Amino acid sequence: MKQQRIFANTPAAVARARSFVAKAIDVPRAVGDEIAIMVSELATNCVRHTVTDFTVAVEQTEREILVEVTDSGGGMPTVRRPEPSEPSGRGLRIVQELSDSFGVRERHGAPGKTVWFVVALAEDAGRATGRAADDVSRAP
Amino acid sequence: MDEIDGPARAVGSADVTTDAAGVAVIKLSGEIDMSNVDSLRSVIEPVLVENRDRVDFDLGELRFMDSSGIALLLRVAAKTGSVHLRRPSALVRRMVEATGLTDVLLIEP
Repeated sequence: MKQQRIFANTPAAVARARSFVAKAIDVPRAVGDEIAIMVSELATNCVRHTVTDFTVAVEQTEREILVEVTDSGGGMPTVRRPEPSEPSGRGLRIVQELSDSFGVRERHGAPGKTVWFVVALAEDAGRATGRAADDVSRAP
Repeated sequence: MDEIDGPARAVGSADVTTDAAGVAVIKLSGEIDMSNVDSLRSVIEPVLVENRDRVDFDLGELRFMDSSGIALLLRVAAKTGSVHLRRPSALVRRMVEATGLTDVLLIEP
């Protein structure tokens, strides 16, 4: 079952988004810790780069956990590799590292985008498949 | 605690000590994200004035840190000779390695 919640555009919403997802899933601690970081990165991007509410959706199945973070801001986030002299800009790189797959897709009929990631739960589940065809990026 | 709103914000702290070798050690505990990273930074900044050669971070009590924490460590690294990370979790280590920062944020064995 997919659960979703809307969060106000405030720095405190980042911790609330982590808490919301943590309560919606049932996973080993190590997996939950990784998911918390990724949720935090995506929520932080929403608060930092947009001015509107954002929505976090989470769905756990036998095989995987899917998290989608949707905002109505312009621009598409990309994986960057900033120099050490640049303190920020590493969020999506970290999502790429910790997830089994991830991507960004434009919203249909409204401004904004959804950034999603998948964490596979079973050893033999392999990489998630069947994501929307309009995803503009995904892990190799 | 309000089930709907969850925690009001991340709660973290930074405690500054000096070890036997005279190295400044900043012990971070709790959680670090964008909501509290600036206040932690204001606690840490004065330490940098007196410790231009080296600052160590003890991360053994840190429950959570995202890339806002990485940014905090990098801002310190920009103002001091070297930054060493003591007792980083496997996840912090992985974030530092994945973002290519192992030459700047030196992980203590």
